[in-house]
Amino acid sequence: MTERSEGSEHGAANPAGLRLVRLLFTVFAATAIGLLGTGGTYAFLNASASSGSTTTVTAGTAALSVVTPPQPLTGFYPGLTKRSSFEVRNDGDVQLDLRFASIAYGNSSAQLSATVAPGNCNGTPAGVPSGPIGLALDKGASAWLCLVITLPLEANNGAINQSSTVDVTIQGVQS
Amino acid sequence: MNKLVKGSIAGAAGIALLLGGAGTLASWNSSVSDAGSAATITAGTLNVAPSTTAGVWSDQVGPIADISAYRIVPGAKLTYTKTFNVTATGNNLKGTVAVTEGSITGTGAGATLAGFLEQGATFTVNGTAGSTFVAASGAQPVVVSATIEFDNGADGDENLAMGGVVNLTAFAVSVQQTV
Repeated sequence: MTERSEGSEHGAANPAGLRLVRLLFTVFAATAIGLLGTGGTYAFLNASASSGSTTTVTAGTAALSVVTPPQPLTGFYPGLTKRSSFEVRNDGDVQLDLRFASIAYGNSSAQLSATVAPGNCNGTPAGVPSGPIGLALDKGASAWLCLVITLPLEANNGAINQSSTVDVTIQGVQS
Repeated sequence: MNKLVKGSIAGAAGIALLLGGAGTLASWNSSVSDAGSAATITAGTLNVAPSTTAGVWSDQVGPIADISAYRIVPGAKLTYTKTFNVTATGNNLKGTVAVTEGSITGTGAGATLAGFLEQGATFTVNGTAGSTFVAASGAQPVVVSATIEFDNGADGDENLAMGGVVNLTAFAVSVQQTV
């Protein structure tokens, strides 16, 4: 009975010691974590200031318009080429390289063929069938282009008395 | 017999206690204050503030007189140059300067434009390109050049940003002590 009682008291002392160790370890760990967590924040000086500038920035535009359209061309026969000048203007905010982007014929039976050349049709410019025209247009500036219309020599009789609209698209690409 | 042993043990313990205490009480001790070592220690300082001179906008061509009338296009690089004064005092104090970018926001075409704009910054400290400084007496001018670049992609890629308007909020300049 006595030995069991002493054994029991001895056995109860160890858990108390363990609890103390655990408590000390917990306090130490909490303190260490707390110190580590805050140490980085307070270790160095720092400061900041605002630039104080709030502003608005607006994007520009690229815009091209036809200010003087070409005149109607009539009286074609196979092998004949006629020209009419037209004026375009850069209404945007950037310099534009002009390109002959596309052409659409209202009546394919007319069998017309169109090209575009830089300039106002002085002389007999041949023009380009597509792609760069070879002209850069500053913002706000205008320039003359030449629409060159040809009825090819090989056109057949189906073109007789035919008429067609010619819709030329000039593209301006930022230089 | 047991009483004799117990008595002896108790007596020995008493003597031991007395010996232990006697060591402490018997030793001489003394202390003195070193009056010459008394000193005041003062912490250094680190501050940054914008100069009173207004910032200047420019692009890759030159100064911009009125940013509100400016129209940004693909390929443009706007630069906002502003001088800040860094005050850094302290032995062995050194640090770096950095920029916390402002936000760029917009709606419609402006939102598209905002997506194309990229921010950056360069620094000149005391006339030398770089972002580091050391402690010195007086204010050290730090010229901050905050950039906004409108990259130029393939033809027509940025068309949806035409006419877009973005709001640029103020950016912040920060100084940070380094090791």
